[in-house]
Amino acid sequence: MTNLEKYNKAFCESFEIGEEQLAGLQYQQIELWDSVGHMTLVANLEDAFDIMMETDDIIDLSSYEKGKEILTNNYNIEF
Amino acid sequence: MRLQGKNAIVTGARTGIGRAIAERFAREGANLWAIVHREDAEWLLAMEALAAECDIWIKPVYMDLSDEEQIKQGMQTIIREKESIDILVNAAGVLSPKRLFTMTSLADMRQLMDVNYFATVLLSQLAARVMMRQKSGSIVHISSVSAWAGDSAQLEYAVSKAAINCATKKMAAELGAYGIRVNAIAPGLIETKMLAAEDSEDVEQLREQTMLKRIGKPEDVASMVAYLASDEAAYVTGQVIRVDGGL
Repeated sequence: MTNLEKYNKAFCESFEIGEEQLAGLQYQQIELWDSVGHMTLVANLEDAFDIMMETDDIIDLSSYEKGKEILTNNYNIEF
Repeated sequence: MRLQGKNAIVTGARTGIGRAIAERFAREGANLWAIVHREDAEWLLAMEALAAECDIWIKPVYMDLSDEEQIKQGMQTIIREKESIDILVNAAGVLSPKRLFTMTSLADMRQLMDVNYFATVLLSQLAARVMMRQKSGSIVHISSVSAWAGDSAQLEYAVSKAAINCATKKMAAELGAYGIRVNAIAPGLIETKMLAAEDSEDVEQLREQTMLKRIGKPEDVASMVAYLASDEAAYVTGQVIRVDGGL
C-alpha cells in the first residue's frame, strides 16, 4: 500500500466516506469530522504510519490537504 | 485477581503510594510499566522478584516528569510496544515546603505545577490516544485532601491538586464517549516520606481529627486505586474519592 493509499484509508475509515469526498475536505465540514472524529483520525494516522503526532500538529490538522503537509514536513512521510 | 491480563502505567512507582499501587496491581495480575525518575538497583531487584512471584512483567521506564521531552520519549517507548494500555495511574507528585505564598517564588510554583499537574495532563493525553483506539481504559489520578484545605501555606501544592480534581471531571467528560473512565483519589494523611517531612505536631493534630484515629497506609490508597482501575468500577467516572480515614 502506498503512503497516499494509507492516508486516504485513514480518512475514509475515520469518517465513513468515499475517496471521492476527500479533496478539499475540512474539519467540521461533515458530521463525523467533529472533535471526537478528529481524534479517531489521529489514531488511524498514527497507526498507519507508526508515528506519535505532536499536540500542535493535531490542532493544525484542519483539512485533508493540511494533513498531508504536516505528515510530509514533520514526519518525513512522502506522498 | 481483578486486573488479570491488563497492562498498566504507574508513575512514581519507586516509593510511597505509587510503589504500593505497583505492588497491589502486580498481585492483582496486571503487567506494569513502572515510571520512575532514576535507576535504583534495590528497587529494580524488588520489582523483578515481584514480577516473577506474580507471573507478570514489570518494565521500568525512566523519566523526569518536569521534562516534557522525556515524558514524550518515555511514552513513545511504551506506545511503540504495541501492547494495550488499559490503565494509567498518575501517582507521582512533589510536595512544596511549608511556606506562605507571599514567600514563594513563581518559579518554584511553576516547577511544582510542571510535575503535579502538567505531567499528569501530558501523560493522560498520550495514554488516552491509545485508549481511544481501544475504546476502553481507566485513568486514575492521585490528588489530595489538600485541594480543599483552608489552612495557610503550600498554596501551589493545594492548587495543583485542585487542578487535578477539575481535570478529572473534564477528562472524564471528554473521554467517556470512548469508554474511558477517569477518576481521582484524594488521600488524607498517609505514611509516606512526604508526611515524614511535615511538622510532627501538625500531623498528630490531624491524626486526632480523623474519624478512624489513625494515619493511613499507602496500601489503603492502593486498594481504592485497584478498584477504580478494575471493571468492578465500570460505571464510575469523573469522581474524586477521598481516602482519608474520615478527615
